[in-house]
Amino acid sequence: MSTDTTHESVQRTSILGGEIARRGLTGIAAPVLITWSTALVGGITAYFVIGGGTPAVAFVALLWLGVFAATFEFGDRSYAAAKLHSLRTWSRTRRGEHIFRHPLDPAYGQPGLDPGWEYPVPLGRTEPLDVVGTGLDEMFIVRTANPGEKPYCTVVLAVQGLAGGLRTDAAWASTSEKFGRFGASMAKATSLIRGIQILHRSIPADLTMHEDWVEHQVEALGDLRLSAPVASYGNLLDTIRPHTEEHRTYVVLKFPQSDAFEDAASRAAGGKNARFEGGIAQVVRDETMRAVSKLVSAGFGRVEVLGEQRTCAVIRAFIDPTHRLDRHQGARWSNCWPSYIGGENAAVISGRWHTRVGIMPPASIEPVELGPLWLAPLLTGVSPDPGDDETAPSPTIRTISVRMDFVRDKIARESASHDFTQDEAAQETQRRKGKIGDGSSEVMATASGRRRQDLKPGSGHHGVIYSMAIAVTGRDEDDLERACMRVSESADESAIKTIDWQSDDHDVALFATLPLGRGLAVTRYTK
Amino acid sequence: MASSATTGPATHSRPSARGRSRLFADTAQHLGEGTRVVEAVDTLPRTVARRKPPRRRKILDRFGWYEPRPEGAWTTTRQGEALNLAISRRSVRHQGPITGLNLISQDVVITDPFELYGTDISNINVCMVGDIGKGKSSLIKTGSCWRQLIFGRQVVVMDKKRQGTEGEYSVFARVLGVQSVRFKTGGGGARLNLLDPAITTGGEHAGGLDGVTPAGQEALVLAVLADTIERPLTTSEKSAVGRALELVNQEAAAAGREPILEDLARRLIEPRDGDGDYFGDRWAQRSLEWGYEPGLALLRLVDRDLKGLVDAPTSPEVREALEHPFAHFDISALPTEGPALRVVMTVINTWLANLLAARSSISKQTILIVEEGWHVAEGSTGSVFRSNMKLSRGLGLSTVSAFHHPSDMSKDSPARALMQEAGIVFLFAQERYDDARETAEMYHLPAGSVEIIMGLGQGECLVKIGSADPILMEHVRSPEEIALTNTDEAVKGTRAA
Repeated sequence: MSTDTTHESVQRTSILGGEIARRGLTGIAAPVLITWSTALVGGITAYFVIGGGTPAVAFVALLWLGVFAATFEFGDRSYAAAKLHSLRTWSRTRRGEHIFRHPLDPAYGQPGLDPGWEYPVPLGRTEPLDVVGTGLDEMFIVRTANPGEKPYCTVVLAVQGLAGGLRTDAAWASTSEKFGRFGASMAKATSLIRGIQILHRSIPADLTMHEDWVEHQVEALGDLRLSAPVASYGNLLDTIRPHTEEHRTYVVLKFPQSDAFEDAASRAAGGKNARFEGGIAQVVRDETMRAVSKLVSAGFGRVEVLGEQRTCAVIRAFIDPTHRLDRHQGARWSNCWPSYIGGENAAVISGRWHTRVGIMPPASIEPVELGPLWLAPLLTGVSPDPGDDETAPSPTIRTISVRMDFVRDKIARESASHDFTQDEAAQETQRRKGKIGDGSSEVMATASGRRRQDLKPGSGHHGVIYSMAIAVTGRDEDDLERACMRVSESADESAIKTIDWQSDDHDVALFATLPLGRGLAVTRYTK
Repeated sequence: MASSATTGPATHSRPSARGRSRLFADTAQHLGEGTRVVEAVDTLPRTVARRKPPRRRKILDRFGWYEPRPEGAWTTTRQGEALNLAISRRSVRHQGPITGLNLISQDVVITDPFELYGTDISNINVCMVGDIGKGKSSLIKTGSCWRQLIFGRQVVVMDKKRQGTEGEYSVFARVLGVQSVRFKTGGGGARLNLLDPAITTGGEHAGGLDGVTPAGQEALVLAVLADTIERPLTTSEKSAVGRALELVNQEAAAAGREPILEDLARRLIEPRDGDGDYFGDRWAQRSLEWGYEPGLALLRLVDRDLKGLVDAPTSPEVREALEHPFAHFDISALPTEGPALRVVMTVINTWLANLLAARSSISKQTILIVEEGWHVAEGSTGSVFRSNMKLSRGLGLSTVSAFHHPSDMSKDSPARALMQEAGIVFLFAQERYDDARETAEMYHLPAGSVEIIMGLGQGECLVKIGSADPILMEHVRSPEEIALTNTDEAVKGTRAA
């Protein structure tokens, strides 16, 4: 370790910001393009059907103008998108999709109160893979087969995290580099893990074990002369409890059911004359162990593969903070879903907790150099709620989720070159026209140029498409409001300028912050 | 509306319009709360059949109709290093009294030397470094004293800091119903015999563990003499003192009393015939002269500097003090100038180490608090203190000491060694840049630590546990502790609880 304690040393930094606009030839969202194409074809067809003439031209012009006006993004979202969102909210609330009742809920099974869903609707076709009798029964693999993307399997790992304390820049640089290498290892062509989700959960610390230990010690001592320090220690625990936080990190490995994956599973199953599910479990287990080994060697401490009970306990505790992350006895896929009711501003969990979910758009991350602790204000630095006469002080309960889908170096390099060429061309066009822009094109060009630089042959790095989401939980509406304000402030300190709160959709968006490998749109590079 | 809950269909695949309106009713009404949920579960009718989720359409699902599918952004595994969320490690330790709150992770911090020993530290001594008024004393009083008592540890305090007319820890003694043991120069206070039989001649004890040998009477006397004469003793002087000490002990044992320092001084000044026989015929007579100068030095100490402190049999209250988990030796009345303070502190330390060595096989955990550590860091008596500290593991004795400014001490200062050897170090704020830089260099802190040390608020500190990276901690106190550690009464004219 360096003894240089005063002079600045070189810090290893990264730049995430810069992708401030949508990529692609047009820079327009695919649904909008589809709509425009449809309107174009529809307009032409209508022209001929109507038989031409001024009325036909007027109709087509109005149609195109209307479609354009409705779908063009003025600000955050277009008029059509807002209306479609309202329609979707109306339709799903009409069917009671925003409600789920746990069997222990008094309203469970009651007509008019319980829509009767077996599992929460946002799960869709998500269920554990049946590996009973395959010899890998201890593996808990969740298979998601919703039609919007290729079916995939997920496995949850509990990660201890990097050793705490103030570290030297060199130590941070080393661990950052190792994490980068871990990502690169997952992204390489032969890897069947094509995406990961990292979740950071912050909850009030559980001091139960400490209290039990203290109680045992005091009982064993049995010295009545020490009643004053005993009472004082009890008050100390009461004083410190509202301020203590517990931070847990989980990594979800995502295995899309690609041809390569299925081939490997078939080979594994065939070799042992086992069921296909057994082959999947075998492949997933082998790849998981590879990931575990990489994480351990990257300095992430103890890494554990979670089985059914522990995974389900984690899911349950992520939704309902009443449950502890480690209390997994009896937790099963069939009973780990607490009751909830989705609302405009929050999802109400078990009638007690109010959870609001937001997406942190990558475009809102400032294009500045980020040190290894850039997210610390959000991860560990959110102030606790000071409480008031009626509410006790409490830490801010939150989950931060990062989804990463890996893109092989060759494909990512092509995309980077393409984007860089486009950005340079756009700048050149501006220069030729003598236009002075707002700097957006320069920022975009820098971002694509950086990608191109990182992905140079021989660098060992690969492409990544990522997204970030956050869930904040309060004890009531006011508490949640205050918590969201504190979280927004901390996000701002972390160079994240916007949190796009999912109004009306908190109950659905909540599932993007659970260890299920969700929360990122499929692209042509990652499908 | 209420009727829909009771008169609705037994099973249905789609909720009725009437049912839909109920779904928007008050959430508390629907969900109930707490234990009532569990109690009510068996008594409620179950009438709604379970059903699968609605079917999704591919194109709509792909574009996020059924669940948010936020558009991602491009980056690389190189830049993606910033997406690592596992930047902190949760402490899984729950044994040991809580010291404070980790200001980075908001996790509780446990810095108990006995619980951390073996896994995190190999030296159970604790050291605090920082400016005056930054919270060192408060942390020692709570984390190393008050909280430790309920975990079966014995806490022995050498209380040098004066608060009003007594030592700062007197308030703790009063709350715990303990009689403080007060030392005063010139008599009138408690006495701890430098030649107490509990301190064996060579530090060996029949009931102790092998290899756990604290300083004995001989080492203690020689150290006191070296500091008094202000030069190292010659071999012949050491031999004479050792021989005289043996004879004085034998004589006292035969008479059924404790030997005292004056016995030794007189024996050295006025040796008896035969006292030199141990050295052989050739040196028997000449050796009687070897103890003359040490004897005079001791006699002077007994009559002046150490009068009424270590020159008489140990007071009963000193022995009784250790019968309570909290032993308070109030030495705040002793002058800072001269040898008295250092000698008394070293004698208490040696006496305690000998007592602990005699019972080391029963593994009793003891904490010795010496807030103003520099008093015991210098000179020959300081060496004795430090060598006793090296036996901390064997004795189960954790010494807690505090220092102000590292830059005041030379690089080879014994005090600096004492600070560096501690297994757990608390680094409080330093206002002067030189002190902050010295502190950071001494403990090999990461870059930027100097600014952190200078910017620490009251009660905030960097904690270095063994070789681990330092953590930023805020000391947290209970209301009772806040009252007990209030040392402003002398300034503000108020009295603490």
